[in-house]
Amino acid sequence: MALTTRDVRSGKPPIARSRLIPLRLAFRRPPGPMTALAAVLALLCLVSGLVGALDVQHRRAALDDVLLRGGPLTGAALESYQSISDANATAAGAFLAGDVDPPQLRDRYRTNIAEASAALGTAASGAPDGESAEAITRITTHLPVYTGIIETARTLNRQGLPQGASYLREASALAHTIMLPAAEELLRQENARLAAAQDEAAAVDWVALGAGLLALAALIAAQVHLARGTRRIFNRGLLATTACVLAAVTWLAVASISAVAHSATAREGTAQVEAFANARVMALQARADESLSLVSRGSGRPYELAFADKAGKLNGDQGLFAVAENAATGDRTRPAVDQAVQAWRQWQDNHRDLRGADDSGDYNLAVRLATGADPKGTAEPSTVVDQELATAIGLATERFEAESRLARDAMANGELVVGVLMGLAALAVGFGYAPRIREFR
Amino acid sequence: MRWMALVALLAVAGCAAPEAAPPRPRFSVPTPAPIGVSDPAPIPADRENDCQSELSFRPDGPLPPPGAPPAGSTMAEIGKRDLVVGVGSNAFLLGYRDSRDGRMRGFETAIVEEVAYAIFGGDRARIADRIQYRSLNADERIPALLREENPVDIILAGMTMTCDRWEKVAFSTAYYSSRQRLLVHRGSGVQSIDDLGGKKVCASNASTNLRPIAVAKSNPVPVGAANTGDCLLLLQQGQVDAVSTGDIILAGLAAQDPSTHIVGPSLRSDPTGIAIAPNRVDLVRFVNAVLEKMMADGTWTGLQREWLAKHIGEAEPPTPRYRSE
Repeated sequence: MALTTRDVRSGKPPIARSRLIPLRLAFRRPPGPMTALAAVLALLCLVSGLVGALDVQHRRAALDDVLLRGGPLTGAALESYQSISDANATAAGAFLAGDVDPPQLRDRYRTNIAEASAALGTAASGAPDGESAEAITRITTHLPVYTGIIETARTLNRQGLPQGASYLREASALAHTIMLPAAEELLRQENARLAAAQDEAAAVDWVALGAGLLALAALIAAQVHLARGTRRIFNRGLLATTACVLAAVTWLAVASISAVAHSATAREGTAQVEAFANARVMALQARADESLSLVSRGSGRPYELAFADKAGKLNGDQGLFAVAENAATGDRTRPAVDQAVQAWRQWQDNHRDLRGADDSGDYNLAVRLATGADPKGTAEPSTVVDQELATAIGLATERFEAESRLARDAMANGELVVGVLMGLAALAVGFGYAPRIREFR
Repeated sequence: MRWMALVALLAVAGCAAPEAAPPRPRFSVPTPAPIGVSDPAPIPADRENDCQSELSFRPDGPLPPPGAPPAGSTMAEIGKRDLVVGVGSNAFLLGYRDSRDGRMRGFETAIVEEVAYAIFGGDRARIADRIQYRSLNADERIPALLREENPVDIILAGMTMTCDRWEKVAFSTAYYSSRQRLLVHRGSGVQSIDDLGGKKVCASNASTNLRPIAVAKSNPVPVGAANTGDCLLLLQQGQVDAVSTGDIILAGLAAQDPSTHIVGPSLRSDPTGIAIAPNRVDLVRFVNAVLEKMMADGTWTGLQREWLAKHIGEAEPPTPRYRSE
């Protein structure tokens, strides 16, 4: 006010000058402490806005990675693992069923091979590196060899030549010693990558929240300071700033918590998929061993021992079914897993009958029990185990996808919200301090 | 204006350089193999034959009429139930399950049916209904004969009559004198083991057939496989050059692959007999009577011609030989 001079000769109203001069002078003179404070506050808002926006962007990228890359690639790895196990079990079962394989088993085998091939294509398209790439190459180079051997076995079997059994066992050995370990390795790699991406997406970025809180604290301190220096308790500009920063920090905190919560649930889904799939693959391999023990007449014992070994891994307090039951917490996964466990018990009982029939010389009955022409056989319960676990895997996958999507949606437009709010806050700092700065001059 | 647009275009093009394709991962060409192949195979010790292992127990006079075994004998006991027969893995033409109808067929199976008919009599065509076949892994065979509960009555699994085995079980007289020979590809030009120097020759793991291969002058490489079917597979996949085992087993392999044939002189001759529990000498004598009758009335020759002659030529039945008691 003291600086406004009155020029009588210009004839212009003094008010106009009084508006122009302070601005001009503000640039000319070194900034006063008030201006510096305002600049610091505005900068703080802008920086915390930037940090917050970057955090949101980073996290959303991580969630996108989980949803669009990690999920599908892990799914592909799982698919190839399951399909090859299923194909191997189905081929052995079809071989056992007689000289002409039943059409539904033939279809199932073909579907499995096709699914495995397609899944491997997806897995390979994810530009895998290191051990994943090596595992994919190992499976894709052996899969056509495997199917060739299976077709030879089938052709010999159709001619009634027992030599087919040797080919079937060779194919099964190829699956068990090379393809399935590679598929397991691939799944392990993809699961680890997915878990890392989920960790990244679910981590709370304390820097972003901290920057926001710091800005808030500085604003409150500034207002207290200002209230003491002037007689006005509230400054509209700074109040607006505070509101904007508070809104941004709250939004960030709520979105973070929501994303973290959804990510955690999504991770549960992933863990469920893993638990169910482990049980399913082991059951499929047990089924293959059961069939092969009958196919390899007179040298079938290694396969019977392998079946017992797999049953041991599925049973027990620490067994794969116990793990699956613990993981099945959902309303829909629980009954599916329960039914699978029940069918598995039935399967084991029927398997003992089957063994009894074979050991007492009734091979044809044993084959009937294994291939499903008999209701007291093992084909029916083993199919139930497989289907129920597949249902549970489907549900858990849905859960993973839905929750990952919710986590990502929680972050939707986050950069914009945080950026705009913090930008507005910085502007409001200017509006809040401008009158004070004028007063001090 | 135009050159500016060009510069801008070049700048954009420079930014959008094509992404390099990932390098082709290293891979090795798959060579599938059955489980249990040992290359080279460990060679089992030579067995001793200081017990005249081909001698069995002389029959008690002529065979009784079918279905009327002497009262109180093992055969009479069997006659009240089914005959339980131990068999080995699927040996085509010898003793195998036909996948088309699930029935057992082959040379050994025909002998089993003769024995069963002598015990049970009745409808000859339906004799298979009275026979229970149990397939036994190699190490399960002798224990299956000896166990108290639910034992096997007789075993026909191409078993060589060795002195080791005679210590635990009894054998019938030989129903075949099996000669160890070679199965090779027709086009290979191989005529005998002398042509297989440095080449791989397959036989069942731990079988005595590995020994003649290992000691051959031409130095072939013995390869062991889980069973002879796997040996044929290895031959078909070009992983070995020959399979060597008893000719009655080779006949079944040759019959499954027309591009192979059996060659070479006999590397060793093995009497093949029916194993029976040692405390059932009456059954041994009975089975010997059945075998003698088959050999005398031409049944044996007819069966040999039906199942085996096409691949290993016609053969004379072995002469029954018995211990002096």
